[in-house]
Amino acid sequence: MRISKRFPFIDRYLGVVITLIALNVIFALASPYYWSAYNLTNILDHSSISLILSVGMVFVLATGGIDLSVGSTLALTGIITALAMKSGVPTVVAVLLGLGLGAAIGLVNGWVIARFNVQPFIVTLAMLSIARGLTLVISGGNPIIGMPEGFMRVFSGPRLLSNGVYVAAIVALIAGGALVGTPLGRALRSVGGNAEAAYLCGINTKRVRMAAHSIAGGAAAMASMLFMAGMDAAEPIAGLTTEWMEAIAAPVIGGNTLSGGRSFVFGAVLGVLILSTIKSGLNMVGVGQHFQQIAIGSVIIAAVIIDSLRNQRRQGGA
Amino acid sequence: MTGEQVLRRFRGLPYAGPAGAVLVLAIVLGLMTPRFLDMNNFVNIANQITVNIILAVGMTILITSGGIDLSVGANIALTGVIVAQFFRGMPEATAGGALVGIGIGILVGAVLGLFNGLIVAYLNAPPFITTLGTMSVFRGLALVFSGGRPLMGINPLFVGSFTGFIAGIPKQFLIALLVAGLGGYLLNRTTIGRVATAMGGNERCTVVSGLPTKRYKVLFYMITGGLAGIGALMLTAMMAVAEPIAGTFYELDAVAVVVIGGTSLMGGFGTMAGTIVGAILLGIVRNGLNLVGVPANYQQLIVGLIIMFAVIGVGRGKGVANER
Amino acid sequence: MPVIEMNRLTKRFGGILALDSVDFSLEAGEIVGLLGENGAGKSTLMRILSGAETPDSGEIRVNEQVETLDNPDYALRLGIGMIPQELLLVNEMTVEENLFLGREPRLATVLVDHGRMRSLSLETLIQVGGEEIDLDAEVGTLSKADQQLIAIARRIIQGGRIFVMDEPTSALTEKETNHLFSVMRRLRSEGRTVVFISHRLEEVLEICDRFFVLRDGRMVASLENGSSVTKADLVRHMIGSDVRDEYPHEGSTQGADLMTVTDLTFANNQGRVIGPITFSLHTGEILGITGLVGVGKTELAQTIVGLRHRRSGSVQLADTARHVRTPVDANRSGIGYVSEDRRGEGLVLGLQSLRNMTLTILRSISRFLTIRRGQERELGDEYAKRLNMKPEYLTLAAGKLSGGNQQKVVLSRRLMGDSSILILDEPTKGIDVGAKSEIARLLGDFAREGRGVLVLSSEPREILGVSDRILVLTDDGIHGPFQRGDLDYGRLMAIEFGTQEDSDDR
Repeated sequence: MRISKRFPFIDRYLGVVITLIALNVIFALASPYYWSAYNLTNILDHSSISLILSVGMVFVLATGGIDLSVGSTLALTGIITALAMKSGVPTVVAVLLGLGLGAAIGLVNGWVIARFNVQPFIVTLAMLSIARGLTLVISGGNPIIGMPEGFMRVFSGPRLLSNGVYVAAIVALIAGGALVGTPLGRALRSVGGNAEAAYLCGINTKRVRMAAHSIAGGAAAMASMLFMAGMDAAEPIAGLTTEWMEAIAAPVIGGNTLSGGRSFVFGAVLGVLILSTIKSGLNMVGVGQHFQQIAIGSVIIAAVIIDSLRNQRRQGGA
Repeated sequence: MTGEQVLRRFRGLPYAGPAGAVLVLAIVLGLMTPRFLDMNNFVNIANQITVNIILAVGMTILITSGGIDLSVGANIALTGVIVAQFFRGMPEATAGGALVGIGIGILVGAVLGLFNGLIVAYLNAPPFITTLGTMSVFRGLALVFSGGRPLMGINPLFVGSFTGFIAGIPKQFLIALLVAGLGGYLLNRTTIGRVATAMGGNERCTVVSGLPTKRYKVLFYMITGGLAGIGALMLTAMMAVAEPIAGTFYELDAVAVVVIGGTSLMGGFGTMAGTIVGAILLGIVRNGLNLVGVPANYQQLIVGLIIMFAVIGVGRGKGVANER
Repeated sequence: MPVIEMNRLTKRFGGILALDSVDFSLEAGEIVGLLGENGAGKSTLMRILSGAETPDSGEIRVNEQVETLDNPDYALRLGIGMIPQELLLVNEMTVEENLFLGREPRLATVLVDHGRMRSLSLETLIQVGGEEIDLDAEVGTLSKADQQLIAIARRIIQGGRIFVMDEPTSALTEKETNHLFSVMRRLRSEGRTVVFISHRLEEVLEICDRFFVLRDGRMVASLENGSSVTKADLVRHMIGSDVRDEYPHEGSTQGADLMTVTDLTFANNQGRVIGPITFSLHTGEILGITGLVGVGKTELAQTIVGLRHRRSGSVQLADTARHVRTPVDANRSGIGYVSEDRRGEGLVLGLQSLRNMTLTILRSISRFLTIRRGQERELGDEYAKRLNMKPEYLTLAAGKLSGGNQQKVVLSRRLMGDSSILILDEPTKGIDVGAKSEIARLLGDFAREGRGVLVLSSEPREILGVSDRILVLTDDGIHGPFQRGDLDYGRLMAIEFGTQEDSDDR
């Protein structure tokens, strides 16, 4: 235990890492197909989308906020980008357009929250509907099939391991570094930790919140690119079911707190890996989709309980 | 009281904004299309908002006490599936069977709420993320117990007890109003409501003062769950089928309605009347969009925009960004 | 040439006149004391100075130039900054991150220059005597005194010329306070200015060069410190009249054992184990427990009522064999606990005062779960009268009342609950002088009515003034009980600091 006190890094992630390893061991024993190159690359592939969403969410969580609209943003930016590419807009421009749109949606969220001082929960809830509605209107409810070759080459790639994984890894690394080593990252965490203190230190909390939500929106847009590459299509119902939930659950599983201040990108990465491992493992074992939902829900509950027990110990049981 | 006094009193109500919006909207729609003022249309609206009201009543009390429950939608699905399986398991449809089914529905809903409450209260888990987890679990269980398919074969006597009219008003809507009335009374006039308000305002104070807060918390979640169970009964009766995907996003609608009505998401202040106004507002908006002929694809967008504006107007200044 | 000049400042909040044409000035290189009762306007004045508020009228000059301080960032750039009582540090971030919050040295604009930040942090910590503080520790895990030093260090890094400190010593031990004073003197010698806001008049007299006294929004006095200025003078300016006896005491007869605490041990938030502690509370008496700040008085009270984990020992009540394990138990056993954190633990600020009072006795004023509002109101009126509180206050939200009235609301709650034992932690902290003596008198009444009153306080004069018997808590256990007449200020201090052998050891 003393080792873990000297290196808070280890202490923080110890439980999660052990869980991840344990899960892998269990599934590897349970099914011969689990530890195959094919399956593992599959896991990483599917994780990459959740990973980018979760990393964006970490920035919002750091400020003590939350963003329920990332799933809808994913869908909307996907449709817009796909339409643009289909109409002949160069791929690079279309992708930048999509990313910019995602950041803009986040910016609106952040602006409303900061300017009118409304709870993030309800603002992003409304945006969820608005973005989803726009998606339906623009797409007419129909998917757009067939992404251009250049797009697929960048985001998917010919190899077994999709390029999306590298994209996600780069995003995570940059994000992790930014959260700790840039003034913006510190400002974000201070707003979540003690907004009044941040304000009195001269930090423009309004701009910080807008930046956080913007980043989350941009991340959703980037995740959308990977999603479309994976499906070779843009779906208006993308992100509707579990993605937005997982984007919130993964960081929490990895040790992020909902009230902000204590935020780690690496934790979100671990959280995503755990969720993906469970999904894949259960699939391998032949457990139906339905049980997966139960399993994921249970993991979330377990993570929450563990976290609150750890908090209690930290506060000396007062 | 003079007209001016009435107006000032009205303005002071936390739900004055939404109430005014309802009035304005009703007038506008009435002028735009005569079908709005048709009795059948009002019945339609009433049916649409029934389940939402029932969920929102529980949510109002819970949010006022500082909690929240995102699993109510999944609760509806799971409870509905269990009740449906019960009916399917009975050889014939009897009145007694219908009654038992109703009892099971309320009980299951309350037990699911109890589950939530125990985790939140005794394990000190944050409500938002916990009920996010239980939402998944309940939804998964609903899928498992139903084999992923909608379940039919619902006891028609059961269906009859929740459908139909009394004096021209749909029976289930009356039940919803009754529930709302009881809920409002509970919140405003009883010890339970007072403790809920105090807990939402400053939970540490209620703990230090020696109130059995954990027990109250569990109670609030059980009420919410039990009401979700009633919602499940109503939905199943109205549709004559129980679907495992029922109730999706119902919880978000319930929260939206509560917030629009003026209750503070942070807790410490709740208004049941406001919640009802919020539910009516949302119902009229959706109905109006339909009547006016707005294409289905546009409706979600417009509803979202309205929620956004309503929330800015009502929830203003209640957020976390209050450094200045 | 004054560094800061504020002339004829006026500020209104709604209908309340917070500042009425106030003049205030600061020179470079001095320590100024800002005094006044709660609600006199000290916070408002300082918030205007630090840019968090703007005055309705009046002029502010910084270094002879007229300025409009309309946001804290601008004020910071001019060198003006406030260290409020809550310190406003981000507990989840490290010391170093807090020190440079908002002004991190940059590398290529977007990155943080860790090397420079580290060396600057170390330098500044040395300046405030905080070399031992671990730069990578989470601020939330440090002691209040260390956090105070970090807050000051942060101000220095922000280029502070003017340091406004709001009640910095209220949670510090005497040793830590002396250290803080030496830091303040060092700042003064560097030509910086310190504004010291405090209720601790002895400290103010010790450290300040000048005083300003606010009363009801008006600046009523501005004097130099000198041998002629006494505490009574300051008090007279603050409340406008003479207060002969701060803590009136009329004595009471003591009876049988009401509550017995045996070998109680517990731990504070930093993990230090305190105890075992043994004592008895009698009916009809006020038992005072005092000791230096941080010695564990609040933790003792919390353990007795079940808010803190009890490691060993017991708390037993005379009339029942019942053990007190949780606050719910405490309530039911007739123990009324009044926390020292009035706003955080004692009241629901957004709720009406009346409803705050009846919070724990709802069952007795309701039938079939329904609260009988008429009965509630009557009860409220009765207690408002008893505690000398204006009945209009009953319907106001508790957060809007003054400190003294808020305390009366919390006391009413305990009295309504018919508590036979009252445990009060720092009952007159942060309350103006006038209300202090009122509350002290009330405590005497409660004891005379046959209750047992346990008062925990770090203000020696308060304990000496109100108690019938006194216990002193130090790092090596509890000393006493001493009878009221056997202790004076000097002997009490000696025991607290452990510099005297005392015969009544426990």
